Amino acid sequence: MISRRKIALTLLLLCSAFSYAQNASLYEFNHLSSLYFSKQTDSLKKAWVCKEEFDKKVTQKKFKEIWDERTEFLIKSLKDNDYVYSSEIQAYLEGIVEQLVNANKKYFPVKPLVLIDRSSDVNAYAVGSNVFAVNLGMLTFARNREELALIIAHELSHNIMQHPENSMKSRAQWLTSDEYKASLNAVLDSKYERYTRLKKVFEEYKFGRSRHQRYKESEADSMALVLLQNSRIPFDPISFLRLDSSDLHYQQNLKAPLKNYLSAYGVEVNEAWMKKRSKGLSTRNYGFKDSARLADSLKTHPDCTERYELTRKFATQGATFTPVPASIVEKANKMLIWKLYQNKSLTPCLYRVLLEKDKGNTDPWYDFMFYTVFAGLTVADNDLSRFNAIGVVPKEYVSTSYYELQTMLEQIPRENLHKICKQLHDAPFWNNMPVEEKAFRSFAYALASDVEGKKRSESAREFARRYSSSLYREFAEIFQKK
Amino acid sequence: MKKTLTTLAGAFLLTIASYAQTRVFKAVSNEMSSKFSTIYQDGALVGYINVTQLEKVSKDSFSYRIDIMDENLNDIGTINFRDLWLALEDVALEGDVLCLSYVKTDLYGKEFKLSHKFRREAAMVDVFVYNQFLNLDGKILGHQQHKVDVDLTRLNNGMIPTEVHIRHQPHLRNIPGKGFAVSFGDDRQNMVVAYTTEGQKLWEKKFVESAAQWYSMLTTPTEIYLLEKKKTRYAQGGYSVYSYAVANGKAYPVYRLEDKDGVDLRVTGFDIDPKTGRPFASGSMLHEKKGRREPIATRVALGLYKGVFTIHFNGPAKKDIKPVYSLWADGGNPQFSSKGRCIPTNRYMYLNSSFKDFEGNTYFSGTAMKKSFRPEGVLYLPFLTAYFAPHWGVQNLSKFDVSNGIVVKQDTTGKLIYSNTIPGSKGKMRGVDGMGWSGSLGGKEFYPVSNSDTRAKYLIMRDVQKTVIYDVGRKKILREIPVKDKSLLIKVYPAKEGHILVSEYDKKEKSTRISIEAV
Repeated sequence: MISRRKIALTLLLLCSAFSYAQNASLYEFNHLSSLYFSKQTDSLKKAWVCKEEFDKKVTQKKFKEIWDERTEFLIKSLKDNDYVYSSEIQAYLEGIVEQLVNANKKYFPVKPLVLIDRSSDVNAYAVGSNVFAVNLGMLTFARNREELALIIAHELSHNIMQHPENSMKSRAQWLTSDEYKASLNAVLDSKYERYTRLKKVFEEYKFGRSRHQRYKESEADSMALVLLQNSRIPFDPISFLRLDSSDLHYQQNLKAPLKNYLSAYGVEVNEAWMKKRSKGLSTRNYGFKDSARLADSLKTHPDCTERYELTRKFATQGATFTPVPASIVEKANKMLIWKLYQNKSLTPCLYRVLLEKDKGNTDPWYDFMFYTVFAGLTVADNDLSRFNAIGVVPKEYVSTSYYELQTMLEQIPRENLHKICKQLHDAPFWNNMPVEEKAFRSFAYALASDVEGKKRSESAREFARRYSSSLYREFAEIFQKK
Repeated sequence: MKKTLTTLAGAFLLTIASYAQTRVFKAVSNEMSSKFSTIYQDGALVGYINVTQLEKVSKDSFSYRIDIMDENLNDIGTINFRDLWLALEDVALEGDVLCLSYVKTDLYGKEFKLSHKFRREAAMVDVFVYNQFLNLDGKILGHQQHKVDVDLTRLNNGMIPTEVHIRHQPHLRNIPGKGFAVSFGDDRQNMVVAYTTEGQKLWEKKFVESAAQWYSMLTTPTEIYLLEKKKTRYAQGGYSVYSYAVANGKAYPVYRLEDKDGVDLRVTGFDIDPKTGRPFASGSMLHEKKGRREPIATRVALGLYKGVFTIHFNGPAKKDIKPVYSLWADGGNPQFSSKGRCIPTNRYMYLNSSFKDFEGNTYFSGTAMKKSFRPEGVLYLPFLTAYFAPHWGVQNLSKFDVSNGIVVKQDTTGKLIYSNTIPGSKGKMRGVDGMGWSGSLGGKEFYPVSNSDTRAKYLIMRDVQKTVIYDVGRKKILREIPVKDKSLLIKVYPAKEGHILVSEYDKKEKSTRISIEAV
């Protein structure tokens, strides 16, 4: 029998955990890359000096141009807040990096810098010069610490083998080569089919580059296995197979009919809004050959099955894997959802909220986001940009549920949209919401109600002033600038 | 990892482009040109198409790429083909088949160093109206072409010809459940041709009316209707409707649009009635004498028009054509003076567009004109009267406030009532000022938007400073869109049913944002 003291202790623990979840901010405004990495951003140009690699002046000059463009690209991404600092996630990733570095010291003269990219894509990438980034999408996708370690080891391997630098070198060589010049001159000399010839020049280069890139990817996979082995981190080749299903978020259906998710908030919707009423081509049975799909020869990465087959013999037998802490996954997921909202990608943002509901997640933050999306849609509608905020995609790329949601967001009449926004603004779930979210509710509602947008900058300034450290200030900044 | 460096890849491609020799890119891009067009079916916009002429592939032919987009501007497919020089003119959809109508010739793409050589060749080459049939699987089903007589030598004096204008460019419509109809006219004759959806020619009809100023075409499952305007003694009249049986091309008697007294009618609407699915024509009734002259503001106020009309084409036979006239000139309408002044608003109206709602009513929309005295006109009065014509001096004594739009309703019985005023941009004109070529006045243009699902009809008023979206049934302004907003230039175009396409050009960024918004 459980004693009363135990019950009380459990309740106390639960309460404290709940209040933690409610009060702990995802990150602060000054953790956005433009502010957090401002010093590093300013010194990046000086730190990343292009080395003398070529005797031929013209090639060296071209190499420097490409090198500087990479630097500029990273500086711009940092200034655009494409990255964020989160102490908990950063510490977790750095822990993995440290383990890999400590066991492979000869490969790492300097400690690598890991950046958290706010993108929802299941991806990580090496920038070169000892810098790599892991997307929030990857953090929510990885099953365990070892899978994340494999991905990090792979990107570190690219940096160790100087793949980004070598790629820049080969581009500089190609662009200053006699062969390239001759092929372009041949285009000019030709009387007919100039476009086809020019396209061919670049396709041939791209084909060669992709083939080489695929070789580099296999090389990075092999090197990653060495780094993992030296660090005694178990390896599960299934991870490669899982990558095949990494971008299926919007292709999975919801567990319940869409209207149920809305009626849970007391919002009644007309089912006709979810049905495409257009007479347009999107409703027809078209069957064009998918020209957007990459030809196998142009893929930069080896096939996931191929990677699995090549590495399966190195699988660690009888290994135990450590799940990525729930708090990290939860945090990354929220940060990712917020970024989607910030990017005005309202349908993917809301769909991810609904997918959380499907998992039985009762965290009130998702209710907050549910409201925020409808408030954002109302603002977009006032600005004549509802279509862009929804990001209408063809039916073949998404699940039926996603398509229904997208259609509904598109077809809700304006008056009903305003009503839903008001209804969610007054919903009972706000009672236990933290102060910051409550303040954002009022700010978002002020924006949505201000049809002509005359008081927007004033509301935004007020929010930014009162909640200067809030992560939601980033959204207010958009309207302050206007 | 699967998509490693996707972000950097974009930057890489840009890099590649910037490194390539500008000269080569310029040479290649100079050869490219593209034409964007809307795709319509049964009067509704169903998608968009972009035809790009990519490059010259032989002495006289080019390669083309057709990009097909759905009504949300999402790409749904691409088709590549090669042919002689083509200029896209019109597109229609029936079933799952697209018909594209082009003007085609083998003269273009050639360069002539001497103008007499160009003229010699231009006199010999053929010009065709070329209709191409594609299905939604990306397959070209076939084509049909018709030779047209065009004197190319008078059209181009340059050595590198770039365009062909035939007298009446191809005009394409789908025939519901049957196929397509195309009408066009050259220097000698005009023609209407019907095809099946498979691209087989059903029939073709010639009609010699080369004096026609323009055409408009409507199709029903059983007939094809052509509205033609030619010059008559009534500057704004001269309309006739030609009709043909879809099944065999049988020509029905031509119907001249004139009132009971034989006076021409001015057409401002020729469309399919959403209630009956049959064509109708509507517009203003011209005054027997005053109506002969070109419209200027003062003449409108002096009774240029004597009423409005709707003609229902319930069938092609005369007995099936039912006109509904609403006269104000007889003084029988308490809401209008005998000269057409709308008494509730104290304004005259100059119609720009007329349309029908789902209940069978006809709405007439246009610019509201408020007449007032123009004191400065007195200064010119002696001069104009002495040296030109007395009526010029008199016309110069009035001015008009043309700030607002006006909507009047003609119900199914012919009762004409004032519906509403739509506040617009401030505008003024003198009594002697003429109307815009397109029938717009005070910079105002009107066009209707339907939502067949909710059976709602909206009116879009494009004005100088703003675009107004007006709900006709509820008599309510839904939204006002400024033409300029700080550094943005905003334009509004028709889009899929119940929607408008808003294009915002950012002058600072030099970029255009397009959005398809519900009205």
